[in-house]
Amino acid sequence: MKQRVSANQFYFALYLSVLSTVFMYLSSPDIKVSQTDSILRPVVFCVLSIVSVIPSMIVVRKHRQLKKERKYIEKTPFLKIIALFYGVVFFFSLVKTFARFDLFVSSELFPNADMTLFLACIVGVCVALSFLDIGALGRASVVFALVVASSTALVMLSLSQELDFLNFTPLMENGFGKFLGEGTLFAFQAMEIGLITVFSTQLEGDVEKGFVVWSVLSSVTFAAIFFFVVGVLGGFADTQLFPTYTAVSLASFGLLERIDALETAVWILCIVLKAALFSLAIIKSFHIAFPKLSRKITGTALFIVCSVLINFISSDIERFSFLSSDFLTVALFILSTIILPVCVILNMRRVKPVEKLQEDI
Amino acid sequence: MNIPIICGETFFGDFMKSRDDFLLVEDVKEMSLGAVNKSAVENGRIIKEIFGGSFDIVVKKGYCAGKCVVFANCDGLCDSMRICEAIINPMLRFQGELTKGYELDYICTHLIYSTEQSREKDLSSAVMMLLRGCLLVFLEGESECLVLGVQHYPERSIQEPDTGVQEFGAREGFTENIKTNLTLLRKKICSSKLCAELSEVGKQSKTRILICYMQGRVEKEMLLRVKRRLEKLEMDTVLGSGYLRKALDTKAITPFTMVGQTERPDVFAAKLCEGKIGIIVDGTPFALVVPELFVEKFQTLDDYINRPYYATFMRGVRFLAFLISIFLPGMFVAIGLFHQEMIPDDMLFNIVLMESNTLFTLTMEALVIHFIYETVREAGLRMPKSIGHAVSIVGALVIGDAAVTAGLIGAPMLIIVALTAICSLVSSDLYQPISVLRILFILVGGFSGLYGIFIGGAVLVVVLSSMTAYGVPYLAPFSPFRWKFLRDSIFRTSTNKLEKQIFRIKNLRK
Repeated sequence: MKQRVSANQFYFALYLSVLSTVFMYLSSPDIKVSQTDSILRPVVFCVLSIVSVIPSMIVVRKHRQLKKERKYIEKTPFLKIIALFYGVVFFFSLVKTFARFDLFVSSELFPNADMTLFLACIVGVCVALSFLDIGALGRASVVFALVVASSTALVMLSLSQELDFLNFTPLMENGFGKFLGEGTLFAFQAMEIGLITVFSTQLEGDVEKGFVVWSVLSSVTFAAIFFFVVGVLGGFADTQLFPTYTAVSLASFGLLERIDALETAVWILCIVLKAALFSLAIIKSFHIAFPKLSRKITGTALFIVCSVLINFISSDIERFSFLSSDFLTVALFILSTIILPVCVILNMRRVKPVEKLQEDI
Repeated sequence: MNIPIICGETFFGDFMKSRDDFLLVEDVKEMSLGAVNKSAVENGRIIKEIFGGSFDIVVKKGYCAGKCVVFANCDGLCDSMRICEAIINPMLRFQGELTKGYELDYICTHLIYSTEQSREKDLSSAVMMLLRGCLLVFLEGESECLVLGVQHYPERSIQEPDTGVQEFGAREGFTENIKTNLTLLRKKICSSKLCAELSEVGKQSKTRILICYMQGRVEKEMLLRVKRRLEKLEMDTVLGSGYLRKALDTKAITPFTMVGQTERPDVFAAKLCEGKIGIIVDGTPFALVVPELFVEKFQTLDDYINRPYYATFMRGVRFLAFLISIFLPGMFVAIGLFHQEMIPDDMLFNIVLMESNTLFTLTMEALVIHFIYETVREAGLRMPKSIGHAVSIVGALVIGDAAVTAGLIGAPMLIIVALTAICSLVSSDLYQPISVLRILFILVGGFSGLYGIFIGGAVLVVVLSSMTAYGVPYLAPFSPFRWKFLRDSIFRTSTNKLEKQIFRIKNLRK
């Protein structure tokens, strides 16, 4: 039986998932983190996420209207193709998440260590957790959120002594167009929005209201994090591969002289949760596409393929650059949040009422 | 050959099946003795025969109003004095005439003094009642026998329980007698709503259990599920309440349990009032309660007697002790091996100085001390009490002093383990998962530092979140978050506020 999850718990999980993107935000020569514009970029994220979620929300509504027809909808060949696409899209996102984490670990945490086994263990853990289904992940995310929120608040409190207001630059220095472009690219990293369609049949409660709260809360958190990154690091942020981590490594609390290890460990909670969510979405999608394929086999295959791919990407930075290229990011976002949900809606329109379907059978 | 039999399979596995002298559960069938024989003497003979002449089975023949009468009972399970004075003596001394056709009725209403009376036509069922401590009375020419309740089991007196000790609570605990336990419960809940249904589990042991609940407060669906699970229980012998855990617990694979256990009637009564279901098992003072939440492991009855601020403080202490007992050794190992920069220089210098004199790595050291600690604890638990002090002295001197002086272990690690050991005893219900998880976290911390510990912590939280029993999530009211139930969770608000909205377990269902 499918587990149900309340919309609030689900958005807690999405919140932590999307937070991990900011924790491991990569600086690039094109988009400068040190500019004060980065504090306002989350506003673009907020607006764009609310706009892009509309097709997913329609899917959720339609699913609630067509409760009886749901099992017939899942059997339609068109939905199987859509599910396959979803599986592939989320697989790319999962690999990208792990690849970024690998880069983070190998460049910041353990620069000289061989991370093959460590990464394989994390992939294994995430896939194993996905077997516990969305209900468990949703409930756990409430506890995680408490830990992450308190540790982030602690770091912010500690970093407040290091803030230098001279680090802030004038707003929209390079024009509004550039700011909008950068903000859009930032927003397109939130692949989590696509998960709403995949889990649409399992969501309970007010999905629309919850999403708006999620979007606003995420934007405020991002803005706060970027505020501290810019305020503490200034221009130095652009020279760092992971500016958020560099800012955190300056924090100290009481007896603990450096709390970056503690904070990073908390971030890993978010990454584990994000990876488990994506793994679950992949397993679910492939199960719809290939109903005879058991979840355990899909999970095992996912673990093996993902571990091999990450180690393949890990050895070459160009492969990672391709994976996190702007083109791929935008394409995957549009595919998962707009094109595929629209296809799901079109597929639902084609389904006859359940009485008619039973007659046909 | 007396071979233990467990749930349809032999104790030693399939390879023993070919042996002729081996008894399998499939071979053991219910012995049907048929109806009660009209010959009283014949009934007595059958009873003697099926027990193989066991000396505790007493079969006595006599005459009542000229008719042959046979009394059968199990010595030691009955009150012999009561049998003689209230049943045998009046019957054998009776000189009159029994009303024809209503002989047994006459005996019941005019001759004997017994409040618990029933009749049985089936001899197998009558024998079962004999084993429960009843007296069987067979009258010549009657196709049914009298079953009289004269039980008197040997039992220990009501004492203060060793587990779940309360500072201000009652000093009485459950005993091994199911009736005494029910009486203690009735004393606590003087209400017609309290219902105790008698049932039997165990194919061979036929252990009696009482399913207790408060009518109107318990959810019917939950009650039905508990009953169904107990009915489906495929078990040969049930010798303690722990045997039923498997049937009642959550299906998730986890070291934690959603079946609570208590020796205290007051705690048991309180849980029933919350709408939970209690199970009293004959022969054990430990009663079960389902479902039990994670937060309840940190609550005691004293919390409701103490002032709210102090109860909240103590619950916080207990929760912190739980976290320390699981994570502290692992974190110490992780920080010591991977994240030394977190420790202040002076402290780091002292730790390095002491640890540099030891033989093992931090991980190995932690594992060795925990192994020694668990061994000493197990020895202390199992050995005769008279030599308990000797083990304590050996443990304290050898581990506490000599091992550090000899350079086998470092003093900082010893302090960490001692603190952890004390903390793990704060919530004694959680000792089993704590002791195993602690070892796992030491290994994970030694392998991958704080990151590994947090990943392990994440797995633990997700596993705990996946636990549900009878529709109630284990982590409620935290996850799923129920604001109004937080008033009696880690926090404890005033009694007035608690009484405004009384806690019911069914309100926490998903």
